[in-house]
Amino acid sequence: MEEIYGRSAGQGDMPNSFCPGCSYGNVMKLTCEAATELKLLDRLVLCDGVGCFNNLPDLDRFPKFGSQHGRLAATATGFKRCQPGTPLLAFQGDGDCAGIGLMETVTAANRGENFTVLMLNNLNFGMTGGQMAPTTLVGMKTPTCKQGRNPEERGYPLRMAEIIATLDAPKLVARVALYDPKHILEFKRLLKQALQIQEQGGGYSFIEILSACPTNWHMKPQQACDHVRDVVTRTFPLGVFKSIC
Amino acid sequence: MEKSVWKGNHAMAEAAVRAGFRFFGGYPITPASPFLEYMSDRMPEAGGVFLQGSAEVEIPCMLMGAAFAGRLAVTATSGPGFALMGEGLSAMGGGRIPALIVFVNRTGAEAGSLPGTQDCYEVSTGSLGNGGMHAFVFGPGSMQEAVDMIYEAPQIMLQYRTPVIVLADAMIAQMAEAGIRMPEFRKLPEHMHEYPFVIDRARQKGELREVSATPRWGPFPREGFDAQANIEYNYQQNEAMYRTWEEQEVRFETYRLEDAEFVIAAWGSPARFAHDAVDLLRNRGIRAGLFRPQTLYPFPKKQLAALNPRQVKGVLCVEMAVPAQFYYDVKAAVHPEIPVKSYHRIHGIPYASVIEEQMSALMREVE
Repeated sequence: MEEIYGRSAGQGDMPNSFCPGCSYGNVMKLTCEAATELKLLDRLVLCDGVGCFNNLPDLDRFPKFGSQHGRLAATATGFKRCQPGTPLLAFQGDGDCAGIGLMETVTAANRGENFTVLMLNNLNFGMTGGQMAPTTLVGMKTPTCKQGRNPEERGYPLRMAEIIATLDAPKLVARVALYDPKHILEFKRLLKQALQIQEQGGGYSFIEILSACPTNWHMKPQQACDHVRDVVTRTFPLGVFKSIC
Repeated sequence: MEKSVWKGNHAMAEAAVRAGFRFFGGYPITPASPFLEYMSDRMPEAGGVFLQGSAEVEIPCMLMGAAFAGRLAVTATSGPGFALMGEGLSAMGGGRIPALIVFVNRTGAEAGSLPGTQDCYEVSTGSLGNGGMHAFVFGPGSMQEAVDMIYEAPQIMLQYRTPVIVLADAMIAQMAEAGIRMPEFRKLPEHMHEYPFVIDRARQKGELREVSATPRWGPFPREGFDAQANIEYNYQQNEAMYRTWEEQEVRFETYRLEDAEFVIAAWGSPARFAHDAVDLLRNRGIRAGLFRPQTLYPFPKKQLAALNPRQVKGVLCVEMAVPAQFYYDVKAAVHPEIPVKSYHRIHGIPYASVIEEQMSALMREVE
């Protein structure tokens, strides 16, 4: 029988540990596809902050290093400055990247460090039980805002892609979602573009990925996917905010 | 002819370059800022990387990133910066990631005050942030010794896979001194690449599992998925290393100690004054001697415990810290029958004559 769909080259044999319906598995798979198509399987290095993707369980093929919660952009900076020829992909959640690591994220972007940050935005601190994140939607209920996020007390969702796009140095800044094949392919296209920018020594790229989190959103997988399309994109519009190639 | 008059910060920075460090990350902080300023030119000139971070919280992370890439990495800071580095240093200690922290002590809690003291003894020699991990801590007694210790640091860093701290004070860092012997440029060490966390070489060896550097869990991979068992195993290796240091790597210096009845214990700059105080006391016919730890962690416990209570009538600890810190390590180490007294100030310098007076007071109490 012909196999028409399977694990990508570069994906390990281990089952991933993500919840059913979580977008993170897709991001892992698409990373492998992009690396394969760009012939980077033997050179790409991955690094991760602290979040549900810890240790990037699906990506054991690649050399990886970790960092403390929020500090990944600093660790990645140290690595990339010393190995400028190695393509480097950084995985961060919205809590890691926009919460505790906001300073590291913004200053690395502002220096135009030559690596790519994937911010997987699921609107909450998934690993610790779904608490409010800087990205939590207005009115959204979490264990730390049980009546829903009240902007008068808790402020508004932080739009990282737009913030990064205001800086002079970054070369590619975009927000994508993975709720249908068209958008999945758009993410892969942008990821490949970001890696190509790195290969040309071009500079910093930032892709925010709106990720479904059925477990903490208390939704079924399909419902969570539809929620991204119908609700989340209203606060976090998709698009390429900056592209200097 | 090579320059021999150096300001301490510059001398220490130059020593780091000559020792083979090719990555510097730092943030401005008195009294270590001239180190950073010097490196901003010198590091690129030597073919290395200079980075000014946005706060000290990210500096150890930058150093770890550089270490993962196979570089010897160094920073220079002071107390408030070191406090901010706590999280990263904890990861560095737990994961045994080598880097050098040149720590120029200033006064007091938080931003405290600018005069140089020794009150960061405990924070350097104790746990690196949370978790109970340690760095190897040198305590230089002079600018020359700081230069030499920085030059030696890569050997300790790489042999043991550990962060190293050189705990200097502002007298060492800010004074200018003549006659400084600067070491030769070390051929850049290739051996860093032998370590599995270094990404590129590990790939070539096909050891892909091993390069997954999750610092807080330690560097030694084991089969299986019991994370807690893995962590325990790694931390047991760390603990064993600390015991090895105590057996093999303790450094200390003594002066006229052989027949001494009254011993001054001091480290860093005050030990220079204590050295002179020994002579002043000896001139009065008092059998005085000096014990000076050069490594603060590992601490020379055994060597201090060897002071004979039938010969030594008292120990005076001199340090620039309030509350006292070094004193408690000395007190814990020496024989319980030997009285140990502390003279510790942060206002004013413990000159030889002051130490002599303090020792005289101790003698009156004892005799």
